[in-house]
Amino acid sequence: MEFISSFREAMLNLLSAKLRSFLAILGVLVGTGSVVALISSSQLATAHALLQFKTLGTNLISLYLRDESTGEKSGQSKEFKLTDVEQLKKASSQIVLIAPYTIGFQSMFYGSTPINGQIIGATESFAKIAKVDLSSGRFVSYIDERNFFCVIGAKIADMIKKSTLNPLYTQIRVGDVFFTIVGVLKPWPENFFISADINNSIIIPLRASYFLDKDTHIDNILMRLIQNPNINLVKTQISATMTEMLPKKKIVFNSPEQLIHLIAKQRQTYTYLLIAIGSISLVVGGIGVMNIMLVSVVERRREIGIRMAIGARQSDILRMFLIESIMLTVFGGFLGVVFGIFTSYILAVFSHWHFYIYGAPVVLGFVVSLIVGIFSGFYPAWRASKLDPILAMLS
Amino acid sequence: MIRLVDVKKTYRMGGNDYQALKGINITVAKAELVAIVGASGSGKTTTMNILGLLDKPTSGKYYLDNIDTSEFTGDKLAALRNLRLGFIFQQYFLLPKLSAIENVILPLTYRHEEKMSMHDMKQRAHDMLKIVGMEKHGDHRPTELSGGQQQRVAIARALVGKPSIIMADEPTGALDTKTSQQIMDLLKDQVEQTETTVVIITHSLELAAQCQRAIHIRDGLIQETA
Repeated sequence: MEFISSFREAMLNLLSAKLRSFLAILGVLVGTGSVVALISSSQLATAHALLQFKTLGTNLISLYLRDESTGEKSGQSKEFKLTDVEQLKKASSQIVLIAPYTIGFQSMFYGSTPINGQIIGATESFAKIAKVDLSSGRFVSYIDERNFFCVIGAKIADMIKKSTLNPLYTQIRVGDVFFTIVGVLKPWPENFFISADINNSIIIPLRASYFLDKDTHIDNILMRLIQNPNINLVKTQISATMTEMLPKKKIVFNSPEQLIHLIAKQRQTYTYLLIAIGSISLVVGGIGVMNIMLVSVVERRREIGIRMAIGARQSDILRMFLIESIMLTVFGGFLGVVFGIFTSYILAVFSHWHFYIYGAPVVLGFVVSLIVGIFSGFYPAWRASKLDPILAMLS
Repeated sequence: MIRLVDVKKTYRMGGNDYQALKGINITVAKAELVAIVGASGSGKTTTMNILGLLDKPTSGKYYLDNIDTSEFTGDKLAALRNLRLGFIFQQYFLLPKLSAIENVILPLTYRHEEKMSMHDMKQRAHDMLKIVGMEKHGDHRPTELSGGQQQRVAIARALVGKPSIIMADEPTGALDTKTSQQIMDLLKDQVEQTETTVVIITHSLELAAQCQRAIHIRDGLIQETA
């Protein structure tokens, strides 16, 4: 009951100086809003990055082959061949599927229109591991061997569709060779785990890539493992087999687990930075509230004196002003949380991220605005409580 | 009830000491209506502040209901003011944001020794407004009331805590003759009906004449008691 009466009285006092209260709320709103928007957006960005890996699954591993001597890309040493796949698969019982692939560049034309993009030499396993879906036609397969068939990425398909309604079975010239389009891919969500830009690529049979460029080598190998694999064990097993097969090669491993861990670590640092930036505006908002409360104390000196004369204790006066400042900042904090979430929603919409409301920024926004209310309100409230009732009444 | 013993009060003003009270002795009994009379600067307001526990004497003793208040500070003085004293001021000093009944309730909300429900507080405040003839104006803001009506509300506020003493500083100073008389009658009724002690601080001899006793102060000293 006492709380309701204090709350009601604080409301009356705040409403009697509407513009001032509004400005104080605005300061806290901007501060809390910044903190919530920054943290929330950072979390959404992280979730988006993690989603890429989670879409493919975490039971993946990729190998990148380099020459051990120079650290440069494959050169004179013995190269990984398609025929080595079976031997590599025997390295660990946890390996389910292997997809070696090449990435090359050649001048490409559709009719007379130049096409900018990568040429990926792959097997059908690549489509399964990278989860590329077809919008029409089929993917390249072992049957194609060295045949000049290709599958085109979504962006290249869009470009071709400007001149031909159905690109299937039309031809793309790569260097001096014509490749017949046998499949068109759906847009592929980009993924840092796979270095190729599939949407901007044509995918040809792996053996055909050797024909295009004799220096083409398999530098990248994707592997799908069993569910919940022991990644470290697989790495050790693969390293042992690869050292035996290709002694001069250095293998760089990459796994979604590794990348997720890295992202999470980066996010933590980034979040601290954002909190620090947001806190600056919150401190400014807090100073605004303190300033406004100090003015309020000066203006209400007579009221304070009257209250003291009729028996209000110092703690009563202190509490009265503290409740007012806390109400200002908590209300500002509430609006700030709504504003922050809305801002991150807008950002998510424009960035094509999935939108979630995270609990942490919301709770943090409220708690911090409460703390700001206590800190910025305490000094003015303390000053009010220390006023001399006679002097205060005469003012 | 009230006993001031050789009370002195010295203020420091601009590096000089100014002695507002030079050793006064006052005794007021229960259910007495007493006026403290003096011209401007005589020390009557200082006396009122000390009697009202708003200020402390530099030396001397102040006994309120036989309690030596000299050693009391801050919150203890506030509690004593709330429990035993009621104030009426010349400028009424009602809070403009609150309605008449809310102004009357205010002292009860600061009564930590005796917690009352909001319903009981409202009932008590309503009863007090009825005593001063303002029960129909409970929801009015002070700005919607005349000077006389505001002073009635202020009297209700002074009475609501059932104090043993009411301190009234020029209670009719801002009112016309007719309203002034009504206010004085109200205070006299309180003395008779509830045995409350009323101390009126005034410069008006006419007002003092209506009291049972008048204490004249001049230059910080008591001149005569009539």
